[in-house]
Amino acid sequence: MSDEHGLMTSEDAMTEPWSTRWYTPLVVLGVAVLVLMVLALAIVEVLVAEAPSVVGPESWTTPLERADEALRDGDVRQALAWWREARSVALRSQQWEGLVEVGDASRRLGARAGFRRDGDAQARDAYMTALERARRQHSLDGVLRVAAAFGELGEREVVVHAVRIAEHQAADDPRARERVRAVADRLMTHPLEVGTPATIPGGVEP
Amino acid sequence: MTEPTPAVTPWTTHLEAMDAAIAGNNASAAVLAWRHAYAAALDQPGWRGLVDVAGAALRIGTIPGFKKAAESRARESYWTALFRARRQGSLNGVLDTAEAFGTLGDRVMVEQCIRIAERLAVLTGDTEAADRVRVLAADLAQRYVETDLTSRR
Repeated sequence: MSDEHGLMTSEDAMTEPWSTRWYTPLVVLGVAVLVLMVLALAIVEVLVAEAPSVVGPESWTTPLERADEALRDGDVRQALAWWREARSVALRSQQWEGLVEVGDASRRLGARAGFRRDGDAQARDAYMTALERARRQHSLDGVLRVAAAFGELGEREVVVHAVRIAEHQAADDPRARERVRAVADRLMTHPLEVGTPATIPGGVEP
Repeated sequence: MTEPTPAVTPWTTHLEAMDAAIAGNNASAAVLAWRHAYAAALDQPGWRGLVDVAGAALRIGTIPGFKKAAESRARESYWTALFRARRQGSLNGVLDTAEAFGTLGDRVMVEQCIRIAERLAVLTGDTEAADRVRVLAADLAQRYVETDLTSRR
């Protein structure tokens, strides 16, 4: 009897439609939650990929300060480690400012630690990346700041290239055009000494 | 038109890890590996590493949602590669980056590369190199500059 009852129950369950079974709403709810979680993760992934990272200036200034401190203590290896840390953060930041500071620091380190040539080479790379970012972000301050940095390195051809970009960006703004002209005149006619701090009239300070 | 690259470079293993991560749909691991490769290429003096790493960035761009950021990183890397190639007097480097900028649709940078290549060829005083550059520059201009201008009309 119990076997029959058991068989009957099992057969009933097999023939009962899915929609009327007691656990169906739970399964549907579970699947829906899973799908929503996967969708939410995909959206977060896309947003994180497209949105610029929010990295503040302290992210690179702190390791650069530590690099300078290490250099003052005569620990070149540690100074370079901090400089690399700053470069890594600046590259990730998607901003031009950090790379300009990293370039400046590279020159300082190279000059003080006796590897000026390598320091200047690393600085050029950082400035070049900064120039591309400033161009893409339509930052006249950035382009002019990088132009000044290349001027300090005696890279006349790159200065001309940067000034062209700046002229293009300033095309519709008379005051901006005036700024570009002033910087161009200064950089083209009076090459700066290596190590001279770069200042841009009306622009951001390094 | 390419200079030989050593089989194993400081960035090779990172790029292999990146490709494996892309194949495994692991975007964050791919980006991390790419950053290591980029740092390794920056730490070497040549231009070739940066061209390789830039191309790798474009592969990350195949991951949904990463196209724009990947193209930006590639462009930055090509700029630096171009600058290094120019400093090192490498016509191959300049022309390789010209090709890369063309692929990215950056007509202005293709023109810039051609100008640099022409100046380098003159500076070397090598007439054969100058002729080679003239032919390649004409080809680049035809494919990327004139085609782009025609399509805008």
